[in-house]
Formats: sequence, structure tokens, C-alpha cells
Amino acid sequence: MNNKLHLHVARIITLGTILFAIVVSTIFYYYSRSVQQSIMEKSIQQLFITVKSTATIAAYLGNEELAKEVVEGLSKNDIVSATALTSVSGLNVIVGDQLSEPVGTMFFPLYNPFEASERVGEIQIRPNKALLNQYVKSSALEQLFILLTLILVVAVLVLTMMRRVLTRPIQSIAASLHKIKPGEAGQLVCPKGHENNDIGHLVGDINKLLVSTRNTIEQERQLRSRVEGMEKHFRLIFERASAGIFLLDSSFHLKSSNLAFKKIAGIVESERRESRKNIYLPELFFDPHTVKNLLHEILKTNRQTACDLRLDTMVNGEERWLHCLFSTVHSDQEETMIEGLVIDVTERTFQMERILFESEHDPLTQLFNRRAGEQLLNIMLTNARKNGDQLVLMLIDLDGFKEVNDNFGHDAGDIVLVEIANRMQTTIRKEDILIRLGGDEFVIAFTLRNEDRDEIDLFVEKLQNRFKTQINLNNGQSITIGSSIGIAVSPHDGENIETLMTNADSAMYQSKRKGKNCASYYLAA
Amino acid sequence: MRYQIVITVLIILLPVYVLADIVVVVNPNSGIAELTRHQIIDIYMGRNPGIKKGQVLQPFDHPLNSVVRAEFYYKTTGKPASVINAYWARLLFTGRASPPRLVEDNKAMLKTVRENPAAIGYLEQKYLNEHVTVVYTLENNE
Repeated sequence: MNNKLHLHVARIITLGTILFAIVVSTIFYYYSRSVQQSIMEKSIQQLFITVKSTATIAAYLGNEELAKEVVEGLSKNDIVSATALTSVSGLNVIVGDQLSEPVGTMFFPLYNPFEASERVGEIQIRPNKALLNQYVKSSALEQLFILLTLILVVAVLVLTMMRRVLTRPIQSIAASLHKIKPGEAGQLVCPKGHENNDIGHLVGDINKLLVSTRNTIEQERQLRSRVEGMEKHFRLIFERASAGIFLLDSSFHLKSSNLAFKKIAGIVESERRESRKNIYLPELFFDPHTVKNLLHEILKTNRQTACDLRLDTMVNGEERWLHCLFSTVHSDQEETMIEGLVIDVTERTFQMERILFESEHDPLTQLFNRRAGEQLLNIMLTNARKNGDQLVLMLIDLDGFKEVNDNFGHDAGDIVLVEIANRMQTTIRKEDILIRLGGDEFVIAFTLRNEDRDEIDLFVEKLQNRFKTQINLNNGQSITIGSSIGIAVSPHDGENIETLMTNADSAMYQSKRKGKNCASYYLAA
Repeated sequence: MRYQIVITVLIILLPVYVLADIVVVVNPNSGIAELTRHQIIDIYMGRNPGIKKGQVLQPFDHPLNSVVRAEFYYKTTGKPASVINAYWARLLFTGRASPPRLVEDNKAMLKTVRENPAAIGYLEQKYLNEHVTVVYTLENNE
């Protein structure tokens, strides 16, 4: 409070009134001057009237004594600075300054007392200018002094009253307002005597404002603590969830994620701090390109998407699979974000794969089983038919397998089956199909451009050569085992797999009848 | 009451009816034949005692309370005798001017003018004789 209000107002009033006083005094000076001058002139006129008859006689007679008496008498008045009496007869009596300079000099003609028409002389009286100026000046100064005194009194009164009526109560209000902290209890006390004026109203309004502010702050505080509590709960849920939760920005960088996600995704804590903003989600996965496309698709369609994705990192040499649930989140800001929920499904994925594999494969030889094989054959036949190719279906039955089982036991039989399966597997091309129908029966299928028996024969020969090699049994013995093969070729030997199988089967029996370990083509009856 | 009014009227009218014309006279040897009223005033009020250069006329007056004096001054200056008396009283202290000398009555006035060639005086017309020269006549109806 360097600039006190009452001082400021008093200063303005004082300056203003001083200015006013100066202007008024100046005007008064000139006005008073003219007034004083006319008063002086009037007084001089009266003086003249007083001496008029004597002066008249003096001028009439040219009587110097009488004239002197008149002139000296006039000059004794302080309002007169010079006087002269002249007569027609040549009398000239002067007292005071030279009258050569007739400025302001008053002329009074004198007439013959007995003959009013005859002018006998005149009296000249010069008003005392210096006295006039002194009068005027002193009265102007007096006026100024009175005004200044008045100004001083007014200023002091204004100062005092302003202080008492306005400044002091406002200061006390301001001081007590200063002590009150927002939101805390506290009321202003109205200064005494101001209950019903503007200051009283001001205090009342401030108090109302304080109360409402306090209420608002209290409500805010409660609300905040509630929100904080909720936030804590939510954070707990987020942080402690067993599922990984994360939020991506629109460029698929990780905005935030919980502990579980970091564990699952293998993000190391210390690393995270440095490069937190740079973690690009697709790069965490084995196939970043697919993940990126997937995320783009999600952004575009706003659709919730679930899928299993393989992580780029391996744990103990094993693949890691995550089941991910993505959905878009529209925050208050413009940017659309992607929210993700992931569960480590590595175990489950492997189980499912195993189940699938087991359902399609023979557990012993790992070859396709009959059911899966038939499906594959059907697909191959459809494709061959479409391309105008032929499908060669060979049914292979091991010769003397029952004896191996009987003589060496089932384990030896299993070894034989596995060995044979491996040998056949390495003989066929990648696109060819090898099926274990069951027992010691196998099927090999492949497509041919033309019906070229030579090629088939070549293949049969190659296959039978592989069979000639001895198989080591686990008891140190080794055996060889032959095979009987029946061949059916579509579309000549059948339009569907069932027919082809039946025909290949009869061809195979043909081979058995021929003395085993040979191949026979199906011959239509 | 009635007598009082009559007496008052008579007193007011007295100079008019009682007094005859007044003549201003000089010594025949003065060489003056005629004077104007203005000249007579100036002479009697002490302003200009001479008519010609070097000639000084000495005015003579009737007693201060005489009727003829009052009549004379009234008819010449138009002012009552009291004003004239005050005039001279005022001048008395200057020492320069002196009022006209006084004579006892009309007869004494005649004698004075007749004997003094510089004298000038006034008298009622009925006392006039051939030894003085009339230079001005103040008529009653004037």
C-alpha cells in the first residue's frame, strides 16, 4: 500500500484547488484593479466637489494663496499623487509630480461663480497609481491567502475524512481479507459505523463470496479425494492384472502398459525407461508386417479384433504366443488410440497344435492317417482334374509283416514300420502324399502330366530298391522286408478316390498273387 | 393667522415694492461713461479693479445688512448677500483680496463718489444728483 488512497485524493484535490485559486486570483486581480480604479476616481471626484467652490474662487480671482490652499489640501490625500490648478488669467499652481504626462489624470473645469458660462480655469488631479497598485496587489494577495488557507483546510478535512470514512475501513477489510486463506473458515467484520453504507454492503458481499468459495473448495476437495481413490483402484487393477494391458498411440508406439504386459512381452525395466517412447509394438512380434497391417485395419474399421500372435522373443528356445484383443479408444484428445489386452497362450497354442497333429497323423510313423489322407487325396484329385493331370495312387502292403510281428515281437514290428515310413518319406517328392492306411498298408499319391508308365515304373523301382536295404532290429538282428504294390491311375482307373482305392487294392492283390514284392497296374475287367 | 400670511406676503414683496431702481455711479472725472454688468461684478468681487490699463476703481458698499446692498448683489450676481459675505470671508485669510469698503447710506455713497475720482458705488435712483455719472442701471423688473 505505497500509494495510499486518501493521500492520492487529497493531493488531487489540493492541486486542483490551487490551480483554481491561481486562476480565480488572477481574474480577481484584474477585476479588483478596475473596481479600485473606479472607486479611486469616484473619491477624487468627491474630493473635487469638496474644494470646488474655493477652487472656483481661486481661479476666478487668480488668487494664488487660495489656489495653493486648494492644491495642497488635495495633495494631502494619499489617493492623489499630483494636483494642479490653472486659471485663464495665467495662474498655475502645481503640487506633486510633473503633470506633463497626463496618463490617468482627471480634469475638472472651473467656471465663473457669477457667470456659469465663463470658464475661468481647471483643476488637474492625478490618482495615485502606486497606491492603487498596492491596494489591488494586497487585496489580491489577501484573496489568494484566504483561498489557500481554505484549500489547506479542505485538503486536511478531505484527508482526515477520507482516511476515517473510506481508507481506514477499507484497509482493515483488506488486512483481514488478506489473513483469510481460501477455503478456510473466516468472516470479515464490518468496521463500526459502516454497517449501512457501501462499505457495509461490500463486506456483506465479500462474506457471501467467501462462504460460497469455501463450499466450492470443500466440494472440490471431496470430489478430488473420491477421484483419487478411484484412480488408485483403477491403477491397482491395471497394474496388478494378470493380463497384459497397454495403450498405443496412432503410430502404434506404446503409450503405457502394465507390469503384466512388460513381463509377457519381455520388456526389461531398465531398458524401458530410456526407450519407453520408442517401443514400437509390431516389432515385439515375430511378424511385424502382419501386426502393423492388423493394427491399421483396426484403426480404420474401429472393430474389436482378437487373434493369436507370435512374439519375436523366444524363451528357452520355445516360441511364445500371445492371444491379443485389440480395440480402439477415443480419448478426449483428437488422437484415436488402440487398447490391447494380451494373454500368454504359448502353452495352449502348442497343445492345440499337438491335438491337431495327432488327429491328422499316425502316432507311430508320423504319417498322415487314413482320415486326413483321404481329405488330402480328394484335394489332390480335384486339382489334378482341374489341370488335366493324372493322379497315380499306389497301395503298398508289406510282405511278411505278420511274421515279423509274430517272430520278433510288436516292438520290432513298430521299428520296421517307422523305418519303412522314413524310407518312403525320403523317396517321394515334397508335393506327393504318403499315408498310412493302417497296419502295414500305405498309400503314395502323386500327379502326372501324361500317362507315362515309364515314370511310374521308375518310381516303383526306386522305391523297391529302398526296401532291399536291411532293417536293424533292436535285438541286434536285421531283416529285409518286401512290398506288394497296386497302382490305379485316374481318370482311367476311376473318377473318385473310393474307386481308385478299390481298384488299387485289387491291383495290389494281383501283385500278392503274382508272388509278392512286385507292382501291378489295375486292369479293368 | 391671516395677518401672518399678509405680513409674510408683504415681506416677500417688500424689495420689489419698497425699493426703487438702483443705479451704479462713478465720479465724472473717471472718464467712464458706461459699464457692463459683468464688469461691475468683477469690480465688486475683487477680480478686476480696473477697466482701462492702469486704472484702478475702488468699489464702495452699503452696510452689510442693508436692503439696498442685498438688492444690488442679487440683481447683479443673482446670489443672496449671505453667499457674498461667505465669499469675502473665505478670501479674508488669503490677505491678498479685500472686500469693498463700506459707507453708511445712499447720501454717504453720493458724497464718497463725488469726492473720489476712483470710486464706484451704487445707490437708489431717488438719491441721484448731477455730480455723479450713472454707468449702469439695475431696474426693478430686471
